[in-house]
Amino acid sequence: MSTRVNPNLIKEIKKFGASDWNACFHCGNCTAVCNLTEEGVLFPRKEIRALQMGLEDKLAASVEPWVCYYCGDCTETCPRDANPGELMMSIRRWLTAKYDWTGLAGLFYKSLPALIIGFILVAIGVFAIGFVKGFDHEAVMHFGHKLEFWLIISVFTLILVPNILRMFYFTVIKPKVKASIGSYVEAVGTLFLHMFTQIKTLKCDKQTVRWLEHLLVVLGYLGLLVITVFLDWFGTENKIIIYAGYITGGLVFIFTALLLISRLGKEREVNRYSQPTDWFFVIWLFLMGLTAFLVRLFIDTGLLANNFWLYMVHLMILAQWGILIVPFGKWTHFLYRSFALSFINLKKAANNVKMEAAA
Amino acid sequence: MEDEKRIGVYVCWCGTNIAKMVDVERVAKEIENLPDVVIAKNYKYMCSDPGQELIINDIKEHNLNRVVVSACSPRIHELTFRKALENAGLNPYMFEMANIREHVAWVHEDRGEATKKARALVAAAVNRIKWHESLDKRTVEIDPATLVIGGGIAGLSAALEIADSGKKVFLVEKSGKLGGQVANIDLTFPYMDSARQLINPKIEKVTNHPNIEVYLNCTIDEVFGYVGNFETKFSQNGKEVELKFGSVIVATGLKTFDPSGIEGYGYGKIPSVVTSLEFEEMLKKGEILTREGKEPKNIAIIHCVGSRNVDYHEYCSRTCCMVALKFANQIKSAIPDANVYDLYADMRAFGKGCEEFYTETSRKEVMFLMFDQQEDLPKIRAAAPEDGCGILIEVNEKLSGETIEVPADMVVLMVGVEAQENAKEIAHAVGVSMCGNDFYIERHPKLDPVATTTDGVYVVGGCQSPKDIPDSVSQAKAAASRILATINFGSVEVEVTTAVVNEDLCCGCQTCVSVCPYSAIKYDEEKKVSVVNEILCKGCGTCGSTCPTGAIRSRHFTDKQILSQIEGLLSISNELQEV
Repeated sequence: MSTRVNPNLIKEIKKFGASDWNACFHCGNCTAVCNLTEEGVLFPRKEIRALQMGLEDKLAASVEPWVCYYCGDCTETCPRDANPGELMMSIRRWLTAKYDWTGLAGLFYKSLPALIIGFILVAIGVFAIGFVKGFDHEAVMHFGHKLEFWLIISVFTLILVPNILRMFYFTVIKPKVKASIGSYVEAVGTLFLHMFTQIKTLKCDKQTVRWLEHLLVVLGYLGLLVITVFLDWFGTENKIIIYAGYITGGLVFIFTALLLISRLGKEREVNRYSQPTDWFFVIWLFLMGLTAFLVRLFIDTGLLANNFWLYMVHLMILAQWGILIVPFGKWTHFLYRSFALSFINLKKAANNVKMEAAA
Repeated sequence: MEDEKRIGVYVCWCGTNIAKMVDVERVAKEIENLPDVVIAKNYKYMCSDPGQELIINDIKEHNLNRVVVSACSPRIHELTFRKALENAGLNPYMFEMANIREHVAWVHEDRGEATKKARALVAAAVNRIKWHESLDKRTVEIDPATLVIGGGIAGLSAALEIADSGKKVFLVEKSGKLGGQVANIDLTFPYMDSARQLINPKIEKVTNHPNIEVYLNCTIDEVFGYVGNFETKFSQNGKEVELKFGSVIVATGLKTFDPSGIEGYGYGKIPSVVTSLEFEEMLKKGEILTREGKEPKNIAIIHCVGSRNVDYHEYCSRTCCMVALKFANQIKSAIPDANVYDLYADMRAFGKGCEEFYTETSRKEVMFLMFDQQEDLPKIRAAAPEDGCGILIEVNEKLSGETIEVPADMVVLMVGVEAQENAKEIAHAVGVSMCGNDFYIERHPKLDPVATTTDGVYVVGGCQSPKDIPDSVSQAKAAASRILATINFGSVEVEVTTAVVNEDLCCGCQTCVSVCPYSAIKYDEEKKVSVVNEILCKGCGTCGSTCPTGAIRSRHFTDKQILSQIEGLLSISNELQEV
């Protein structure tokens, strides 16, 4: 059965990061130079071709974009300046929008005004609640703690889990990948390994520092999440928890600051074409770490009572992060990337079965 | 003095080219012992000035009257050494070359064997040269008028170039108007200049030029004569025209391929499948419309129609890729929201500015799809009503490996080009040869690309091979400058190594007349013998080898010379076997 070509897909994906992908004439240097491509997992040339021809189903079924960590070797090697690295990034944004059932991810990627309006609305909401509670420290902080908890549960159940199921549908069910139960069990192992280590980045050239920075941010972020939400950092008297909070919070804002500087300097290929959503992600992560750190510092030094605005700002940042960035923004790459790596194992296993049957 | 044969032999090293594989010193020493050889020397570069000086001095000092040089191919340096002999006061035909580079040093691996073979070849040359005769040069006067056949861009350019220098030109055009293929097109690639602005001023200038006589609606059936002195007769509007001229430029151009024969393309059956020529017509009118009169929103362009496929034409038509890109650009500016699909086999963008043109076009949202031109041509079919478009094209796309379908409202077939229908008749009339595809053959594909094996006849433009406007104009101007040089010189030297008939021996069987590839032999009805036109004769020797009575002799290739050469070769190889 032949698929119909669609010249409009490329126009659509250009809204997620404009580059000159039409210029590609398929020399294949990008794939040849990439350290992460392997038999059965070939990119970026194949993805560029699917994009140029508008093979939407094929592109939606491909998990390869998530394997790429954007070291930029392909873009540096490209003789046509077609920027394959940024293409993979843009496809990741497009896939994020495609997996999202609410359609908000796509809206925020494509429209900066919509994103800003979202941020303003959440800020108004937070200050309105503060106003309703009469800016009573205890009541507001209690509400804040509850909000964190319920946000995590609802974002997970309402947005992230359905979206991952959608990803599973597009990449495994729809293309009819048939893998055994055993390979599913193995896939879960890969899932957690990559979710917490991003170990594959190390296969790329010159990426060790970036991997370490990224790893420390991830660990700091996850640590801070556990310490604030489940161990009640702002309420606890336990010294160990308090110090652990300082360390994780510090890790987050110091290393995101480094990431920010590098993004500003555009010295790495990955940072050359930042989208608004990229900026929001890093800046908000930085602000979250910094404000959390300061709130606890103000508590410990007894300054918070007279400077309650600090907590209000922290709560606003947290709400914007939890309501907009985590479910609909760049945060999801944390999940999709890890799931993609485990789905690839399913695809490989299914392929091996097919090849054996053919033999 | 002529009775005594005094031969000088010179063995060249060609740097290390020959010396590496052949013991040149030994060859020279052994050859010196042969009868009639007065002197035998070896030298690093015989073709260099000191090498030639060596020969000239020896001729004077040792009173040599024959010279053998054993070096490279005579195609490279025979003329060089003949000149040297002339400078020393010898007849240039008292010279023979033995090729021990291409025929020995470059093709053998055993130095001993190679040396022996070199010796045999030199001995053969020595034996041959004993029977060489002095031959005199011949010259013919040049008629300063030129006949140009074909009024396309090449013919017009050549005619103007010659006429502007004050010489007469007769321009004969088969159709009723000048301009050729260029008159059929809208814009030209890669700079998108208007074709009208290129061709119209030229047509006007040619029509009004005092030195150019234009004959429209006329064809040339036969050209008589030889370089410098041709003539032809044809009729125009019932009136007999007789022209005399010294040179001929054939610029008959080419025509486009008819795609009806390619079944899968449905040309002639599916209404909106059009050829590139028909599409140019639309562009010239400024109206891109389907056969139903609607503006197409999806236009597919298919490359290599009739080209690069053994079933049609094996060669590349050279211009269609760039014309296709030109179409893509023109469609994008005429209908900005139209989708353009460019189905190509290989994108050939070799001309000046063409790769840049491709790069620029590829950034304009044109979807390029690659198909297999040899095995798997796209299939075009009329679409069903529910398909939402008029035409569907199924392609096995090579870069993605996917079988896809392309929706289209209009399909443009980039038809290739082929030789004119009457190419054979023209070739026969002017005496040029054709290759397998009916394009005319030039004298040398690289070193003499506009002359032909018939002196005074030049081929330029599309009749020689598919080519674009700049190449056609370059060839036209090259031929014009060759002709002007000849006219300026006033006369031309012709080869004297021709055939001669011994009328006493000729039995009038006319075998030679039928085999001569240059129509150089006529039968004299009164004397009942064959007569060679020495101007037309190329000295190929075909007549001499077929003549049953031995009446025809090829000068410089007489039986005596050839047989002696063979004897010389055998004497050494027999000696070698005995050893």
